[in-house]
This record gives sequence, C-alpha cells and structure tokens, in this order.
Amino acid sequence: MQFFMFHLMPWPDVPEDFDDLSKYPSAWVTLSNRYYDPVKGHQLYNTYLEQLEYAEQLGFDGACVNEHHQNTYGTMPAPDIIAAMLTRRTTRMKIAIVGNALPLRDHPLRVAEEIAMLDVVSGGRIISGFVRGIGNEYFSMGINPTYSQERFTEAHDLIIRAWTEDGPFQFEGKHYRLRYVNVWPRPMQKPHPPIWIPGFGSRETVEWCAHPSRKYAYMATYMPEEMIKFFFDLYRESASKHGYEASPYQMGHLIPIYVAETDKLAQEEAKSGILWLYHKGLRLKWEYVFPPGYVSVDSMKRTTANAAALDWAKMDFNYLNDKGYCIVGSPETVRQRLSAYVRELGFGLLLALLQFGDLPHYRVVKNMELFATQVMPKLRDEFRTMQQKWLKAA
Amino acid sequence: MDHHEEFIGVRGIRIKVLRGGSGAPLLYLHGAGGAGVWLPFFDLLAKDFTVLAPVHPGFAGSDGYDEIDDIHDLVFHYINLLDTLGLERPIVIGSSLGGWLAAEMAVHHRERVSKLVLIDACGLKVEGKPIADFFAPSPPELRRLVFHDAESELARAAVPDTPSAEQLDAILRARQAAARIGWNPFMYDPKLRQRLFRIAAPTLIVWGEDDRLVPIEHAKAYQAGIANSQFRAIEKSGHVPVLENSTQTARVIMQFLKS
Repeated sequence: MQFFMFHLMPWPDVPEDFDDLSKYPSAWVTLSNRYYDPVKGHQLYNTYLEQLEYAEQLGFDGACVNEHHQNTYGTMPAPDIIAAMLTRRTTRMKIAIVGNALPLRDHPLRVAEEIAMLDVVSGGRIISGFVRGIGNEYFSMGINPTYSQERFTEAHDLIIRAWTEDGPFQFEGKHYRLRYVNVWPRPMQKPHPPIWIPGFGSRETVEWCAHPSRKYAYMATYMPEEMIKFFFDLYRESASKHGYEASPYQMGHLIPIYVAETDKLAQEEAKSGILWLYHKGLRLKWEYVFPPGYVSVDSMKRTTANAAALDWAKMDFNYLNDKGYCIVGSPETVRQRLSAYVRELGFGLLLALLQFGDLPHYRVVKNMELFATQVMPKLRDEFRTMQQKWLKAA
Repeated sequence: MDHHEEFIGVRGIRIKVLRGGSGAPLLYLHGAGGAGVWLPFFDLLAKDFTVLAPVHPGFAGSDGYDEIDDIHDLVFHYINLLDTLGLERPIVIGSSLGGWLAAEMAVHHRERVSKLVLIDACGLKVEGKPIADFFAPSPPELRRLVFHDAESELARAAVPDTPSAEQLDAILRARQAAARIGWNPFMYDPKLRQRLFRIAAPTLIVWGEDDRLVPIEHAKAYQAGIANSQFRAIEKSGHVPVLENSTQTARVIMQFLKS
C-alpha cells in the first residue's frame, strides 16, 4: 500500500450565520470573496504547507494537492504553484497534483510545461492528475460546459503527445490548434509522470482509465463504500476484458481520516471539521454541479436518480462515519476499518485527508502523527505482499 | 385549430416540425426553454397564415445536437430548412433565442425574410444591462426570472419544480443545446449590432413589459439598429409574452403583418 496525505487548504472562517441556507445557498460560485481575509490567509497557507511538508518526515509516500476555484472548500486554484513550493521543501516524497482541470485552461501546453518543469526540478517525483473540474467551475471560469468532455480528451491527448513525441509537431484539434508543439523542458519520468484521475461517479471515466493504452489510476472521492466497490469492480472488469489484471495501484481512495487516543475522543475532536466539510465546504447547488451538457443527458438522468447518495447535507456525523464518508476512531479502529476496506475494495493507494474544515493545526499534527506511527506501519506490514508483487510489476 | 407534427430531413438532420393553418408561410423560431408543443398563440396566427414551428437541432424531438456549435451554424441550418420546405421568403417570428436567430437570418440572408418579428430577443450586448443567467437558477428562481406572475398555473406548468421523466428529458436537452450556442458570450453575438443595418424586412419588436431576463433596453437597441422597425410592449408579461399574454401578442403581430 502507498499512503498520501491529501490537503484541500480550506477557508474555514465562514460567516457566523452560515447555516442560513437562504442567505448562503452555496459555498461556491456566488459566496462573496469579501469573506476572505488575506492576512489570515497568509497564516493559513503557511500552516497548511508545513503540514504537507511534515508528511515527508512522518514517512508518507507523498502529498496531494488539487484545483478548485472560487469557493471556501479549497483555496488552491493553481495547484501547480502549491506543488512548486513543496518541490523545493521536500526531497523524497511524491507530489501528486490531482489534478489540473484541463478544460478550464485555454492552453493545455501550459499544463504540459508546468508539470514537466516540476518533474525535472523535483527529480521525477511528480504525479500528474487530470480532472475536468466540477460543474461549478464552468460558471466560475466561463468555460462552456457542453465541451467539457471533448476539451478534456483533446487536451489530454495533446499533453501526452507533447511529453512523449519529439517536437516540433503540428496539432490540429477541434479546440486546440498549434503549428509548433515542442515543449521544453521534457519531463524526467519516462514515458511521462504517472497519471491519476479522480472520479465522481461516471462509468465512462472508469472505462477510459482502465484502457490498456492508459492504465491510469482511478481515485474514488466522497463516495459511500458500496459505490466505490461498484466502480473499482468496473475497473477490474474493464481491465480483464482488455486481457490484463488491474493492479491495486490503479485504484485509489480519498477519504477524511481522524485518529485520536480513543474512539470517543476521536469523534469529539473530528466532528466539527467533518461536518464543516460535508455541510459547509461541500454546500453545492444542483444547477451549479451539473451545468448543461457537462455530462450526457442519460448520465444526468442516472445522477438525478442517485442524488440521495451524494446529498451530504442530510447526513449527520454518525451516518457519515458509519457509511464510510469518513473514518474516525482510535488507531486500532481506524486500522481495522482501513484493513477491511482494502480487503473488500482491493485498492492500493490511500489518499488520507488528515486536515478538514476548521480542524486546528495542533489536532492536524496529532492526527498525522498517530496515523503515521500507529496505523500506517501496520497496514504496510499487513499488505506487504501486495506491495512487493505489484510494485515489482510496475 | 387543426395542426399536425411531421419529421423532415435537413441535410441529414432529422427535424420535428409542427404545422397548422393556411395562408402565407410563417416560420416560428422557439426560445431556449424548448419547443415541440402547439401553443394557443399559434392558433391565433394560423387563422391567416400557415404556421411552421420546427424544433431546433438538439432540442427534444430533433436530432443534431453535435452539428450546431454556434448561432451561425443554426442560421445555416435554417436556410437549409427553408430550401428543404421550399419556402422562398416566409415571415419569420422568433422568441428569445429564436429572436436572436431570426435577426441573424435577416442580417445574413435578407432576401429570405419577408417580414421579421422579434419577441424578447437575445442576441445583443447592451452595456450595463446583461442578459440574466438562466442556467444557474433553481426552478422557483427561474420562474421569477422568466414570468410576470411566477406562481401562475401557466408558469408552474412551464417550469415545474419536479418534472416528469419526459419533461426532464426535454429540459436537459434544451439546456445543453442552448448552452452550446450561448454560454459565452452569454446569448449574444458581439458583431450583431453593427450588422443590423443589413436587415431589409419591415420589423416588429415585441417585448414583455416586465422582462427580467432580457431587459427592455435590448428592444430599444434592436429598434435603433433596424431602419424599418417599430416597437410594441406587451402588458402583464415577462420574458415569454407568447405564453403569458398570447392574445395581445398575437393581436399586435397580426396588425403588423396585415399592414
């Protein structure tokens, strides 16, 4: 197994009456940036960066950053910038950007260039995630959501070619046209940095990742256990249809985790932050999440039917913890639950969200230390065979 | 009034057309909300005209979502449709998105439009009076934006809180087809205003006096740009006077067409 510390870098300081849904229907798009205080932001960014840097000292395999725009949930609109800071403050661990929202960029070659720069500077430690960006971001960035999927695919193809083919070459797509593709620098890792794709319930994405020409790792996010199982099984089935066996390292699970001395203490200490994440940071409006044409009409109908599984506002803390939207407990409880998940779901990459919502720094540090010293080593031991078999294959 | 549905092929795209009435041909171009239903408004026009109301490509009933990227693709499509139906020079009436389309047709193919009626038309940029975002609102918010009386039976039927499966299908298709054309710039063509002088057809500009979606200043901008044009406001109506006040809307249009 491999362990990554995931961070969202939230802005927890929402107005006191934020529970008033009529006043604050969404934490995204329209929540005014007048609630952002740059002086406090200075402190927060640096604290968050220290947490990610500390992950290397504690023996994590890597740190994860991601891209979101114009919201209180996560303040990393430019994840490559955060990755650049980490690159120079760490020496060993991987830095996973999960990911750059390709369709939101007007120039995919900027992504190819930035990732290549980071890979070269870091000595080949970059993992490059690609996402479409969630629906909200098409409102925030003015990009036509009906082209989201085709812009993603086209930008992806262009970036991979820019990393793997000798330039210059000409690229004539529908959305991007370039006479001279000739990216300097080239990435250090061959053929290119590993690619991770966070997913949010689309079957097409899973099948696309599993294709033998890609074999991209698929990350399940904020889903209940049975939904994750469905998508991981689908991944394995797609792989075997293509005649190969999917590795556990082609599947990742992003989940908020909190470890404290006892179950009771863990629940007391984590509750506010977990509820902040699911009730405040993820306060989304259906019309924002699914702008027109963002997914096909048929997918949209399926999603509308499954909406309850992702309607976090209606879930209380115990429900969230019981159903696997988070894992909160003593080291032994968390170890047992994760062990059961890994056995049941068969994934090899754990993306642990160890800071969430308004969880204060001292508790984040305690959480990281308990996780790294009392949970992670035992899981590594337990799944060592998996590690050896598949890492050798990789 | 007698009317029927037919399906025609326009350069390989299967298109649904509603047809009714008799007399000179009148092409009605629907708005972003959708189409495919024969309206009481059509009955009033069909007494004197042959009303032809096609469904735009990609909207429920017609194919061709992937054939249309922008308003100009839609103009080409409708010139092809006129050729397919053998319509040399029909009256063209358009509402909202359809009004924008009608204006573009009259700019680019002025020889193909005998008279032009623009109803609460999108299409122009008016400084300080942007067209409202109708993709972000929830159904109740959308009713307040679109209708003079947001809670009328008519408004609730047109924009339901919990649509049936068939309605949901139509809504999702209408949203994506409209967004593809008009997401950014939002429902306008930056070059249209400077080209309006090319419109040769006598033009009537009709506007719901309480339109919160496309502010009435857009009507004034169309009137200023089109030489032979006149303006009529419709009482007790928001963005869709053909629904909210079909009687007065049909009356002013008939007066114009018969003059």
